[in-house]
Amino acid sequence: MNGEYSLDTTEGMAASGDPPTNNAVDDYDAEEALERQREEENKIKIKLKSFEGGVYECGLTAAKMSVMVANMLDALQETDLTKIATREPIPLQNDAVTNKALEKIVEWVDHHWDDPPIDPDFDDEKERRNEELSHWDKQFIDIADQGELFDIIAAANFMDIKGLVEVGAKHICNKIKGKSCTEVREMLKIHNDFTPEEEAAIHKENEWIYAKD
Amino acid sequence: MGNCQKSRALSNRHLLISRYHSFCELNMSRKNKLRINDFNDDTLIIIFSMLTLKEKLCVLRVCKRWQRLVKVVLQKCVSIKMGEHSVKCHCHCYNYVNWDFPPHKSFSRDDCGYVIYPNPLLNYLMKLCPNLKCINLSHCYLDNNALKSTF
Repeated sequence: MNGEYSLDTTEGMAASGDPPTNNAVDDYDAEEALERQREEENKIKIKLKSFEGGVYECGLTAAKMSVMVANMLDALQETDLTKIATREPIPLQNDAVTNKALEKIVEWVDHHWDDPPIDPDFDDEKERRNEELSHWDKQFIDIADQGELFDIIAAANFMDIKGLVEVGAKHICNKIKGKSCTEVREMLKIHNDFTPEEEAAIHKENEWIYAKD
Repeated sequence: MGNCQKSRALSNRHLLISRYHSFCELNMSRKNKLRINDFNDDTLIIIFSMLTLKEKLCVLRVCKRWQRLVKVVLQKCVSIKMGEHSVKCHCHCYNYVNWDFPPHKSFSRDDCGYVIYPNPLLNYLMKLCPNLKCINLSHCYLDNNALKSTF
């Protein structure tokens, strides 16, 4: 019976789930079984190693939010997932993955691991763009030090955690909103590489946009 | 005997030095703090695509790289909602419409209070968003000349 509910990768794990009470295998049951599996899998802790050498522990389902880590785990072709926990830490070879950044990333995926996955068929960028960040995300990403914030975003991008990159991007957008381009340059320490002539040309083309509210 | 000790002391020293070097390297590996322009194009494009149209047009002036990338993002723009919700309007558009280009307070208005968008605006938008298919106008004017010269 259980075989019907388990995924290939979780053989041996599925036995811990309760057998279904009736014979009708509907979507709801399958969904619930999948959820239980994700929950069970998240109890397995794996180790991630930052570029600076710090090792951080993270639930398996949470760690798989990183497409890069998920691919690396797939490549191991390990059928007994509990063995993954005893493996060497997974090294993350990018200098943006500092100890601090990885610590924050692990905190984020540990909080978000049971989020419903983004449906690629209903991936309306504009809708998601207008969605406000949750209170938890807002507090999570409100980091005073810009270098640290950028490390987290760059590291999340390297590890391919789409949700976290978007949280960071939205945070930066909120900071950009309502600022003039001079203020944006100052805030983000960007060098203005336009010549005065080029700048005057853009300004002339659309000066009515830049009138400050 | 003495020589052997000496060479051991030397090799220990050598070990210390090489440890010191790797320690330095470790500290050096975290070069300067990241800046926003250290992000790759894809990450910046995600950031820009979350800005409203008006904000996009504003940050386009920040630097050359941003100008190039904002233009890439604008290529994807297929529809624009322009105008505003009017107090005279009994619809509930204020509940669900996110205006892409809300009027600035310096824009002029007609006797009834409807906003008049500046002449070159439409032309400018058409130039920047070549894939634009739909413009949604609400409680606002676009100059006849602007319409004629654009379409």
